[in-house]
Amino acid sequence: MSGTYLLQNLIDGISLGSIYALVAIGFSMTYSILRLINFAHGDILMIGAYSGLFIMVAWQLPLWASLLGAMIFAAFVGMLVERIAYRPLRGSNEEATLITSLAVSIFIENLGIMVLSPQPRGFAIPKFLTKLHTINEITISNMTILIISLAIILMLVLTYFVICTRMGVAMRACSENINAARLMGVNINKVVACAFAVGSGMAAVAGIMLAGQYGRIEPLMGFVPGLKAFIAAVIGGIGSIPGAALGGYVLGLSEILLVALLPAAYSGYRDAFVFIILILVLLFKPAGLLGTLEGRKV
Amino acid sequence: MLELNDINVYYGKIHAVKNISLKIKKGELVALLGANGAGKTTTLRTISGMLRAKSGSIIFDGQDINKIEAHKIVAMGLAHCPEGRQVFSRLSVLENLKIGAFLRKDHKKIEKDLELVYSLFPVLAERKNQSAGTLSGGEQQMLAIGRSLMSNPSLLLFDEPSLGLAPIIIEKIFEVIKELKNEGKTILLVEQNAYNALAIADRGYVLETGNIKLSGEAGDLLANDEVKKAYLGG
Repeated sequence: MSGTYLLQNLIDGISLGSIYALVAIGFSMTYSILRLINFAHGDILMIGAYSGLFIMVAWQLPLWASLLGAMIFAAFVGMLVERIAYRPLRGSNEEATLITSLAVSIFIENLGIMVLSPQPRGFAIPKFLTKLHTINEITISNMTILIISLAIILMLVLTYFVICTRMGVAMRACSENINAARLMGVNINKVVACAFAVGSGMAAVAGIMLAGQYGRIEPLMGFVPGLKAFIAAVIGGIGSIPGAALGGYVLGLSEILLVALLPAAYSGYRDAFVFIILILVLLFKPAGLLGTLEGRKV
Repeated sequence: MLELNDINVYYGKIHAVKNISLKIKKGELVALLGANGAGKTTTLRTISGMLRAKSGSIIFDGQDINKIEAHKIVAMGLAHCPEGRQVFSRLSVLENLKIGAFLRKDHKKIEKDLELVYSLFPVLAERKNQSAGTLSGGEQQMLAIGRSLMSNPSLLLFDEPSLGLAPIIIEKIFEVIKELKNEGKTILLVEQNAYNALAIADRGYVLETGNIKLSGEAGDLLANDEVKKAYLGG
């Protein structure tokens, strides 16, 4: 195996990892505040991809505008889902919210099939993104460069938001002790809505990037990336935002590298590798790579 | 300033607070005493909007706050320093103090209040960039008190500020609470440490299994045989 082959796969792994990271962050944000595993998060990714497509095709707007529009629309849908499905369950047990999120996921997927038709649609990206660069036999497309850099930019913005802004500090306070945060005058509903908006916006970007890479979208496209991003969040330590980003890259890289390095006969087991990695990480670090185990109050 | 009229609070089917009425006048320091499970913390949590009273009214500054959301009650000038400190351990000391002033926009006054907290507890200034989880128990209690002062409240609720602390720290904490009263803050102090609480309080109430058993001037309660027997160790 040559060095270029390895490097090529590294780049592909980082690209896939960027997408997982963007989605995993949303999982971790809502989990950290509400202890809610939002299985509908992957379907928000789908909504983001479709709204991006419609903005591009129907309004003939450029890619950046469709990205922005899709982020805003997905953020709105995320807040709506929280308002309708999760807020009434605030204070109930984790099992109830988990089942509800599965129900929301199935609802959105079937609504998508009814309204958008189950047929996949083509998702054409602007010409300049399909351009390939070849350096020392390594091929990298503008699309890949866009995915990697967009993920980094969004994560930097998010880091600034969480560390430096008033809402970001409130979010961190809530994730640690939601009742103490209320006593400080923090409006929990606003913080939760904000977490859903931010997470959904990032998922929308991931959706458009996935759609751009595969060139097509369909109503069930969010399921597998949603599941993998959830696994990435658990690998990184669910509830930790840096952990989610790290878990996304670890998962993306190992998925691509394992397929590339193992004999071709094993490549069909790609998704099984994901779970093997998850099991291995949890065996040695039950709280995930960057997570902390919280004592449960009994 | 604060008036509880016949409030009843339930945890599910458990009737935790039964027909409690109490009154705190402006500038007063009132102690709320009682054994574990008497309903002291429940009473405080109901006042600050974390729990809802099923019946009765809670009048703060002339307004019934029983149906008002917790964050709006903070905005009205009521701060609740919770039991067990509950500082945000992953946030820095400074971030903890600043989130105490979450609803305020008067940045200059916030800086001034920050200096005030630092002058009350100089150790917090030394450790302002440390994460709160690295502080000792006593320092965390100081931080919790400082944090509750940052909303510039007119009424302060303290829930067991001496819990689990060394005697020398307890002394310091009670000293600060007394100082706050002298500066004109109104205070409701929940304590198991009845002697220390009554020593600085104007008046006191004694709770027993959700009912008010006794009430009166702090000096009278200190001299009361029943109180002595039950809470002051003979």
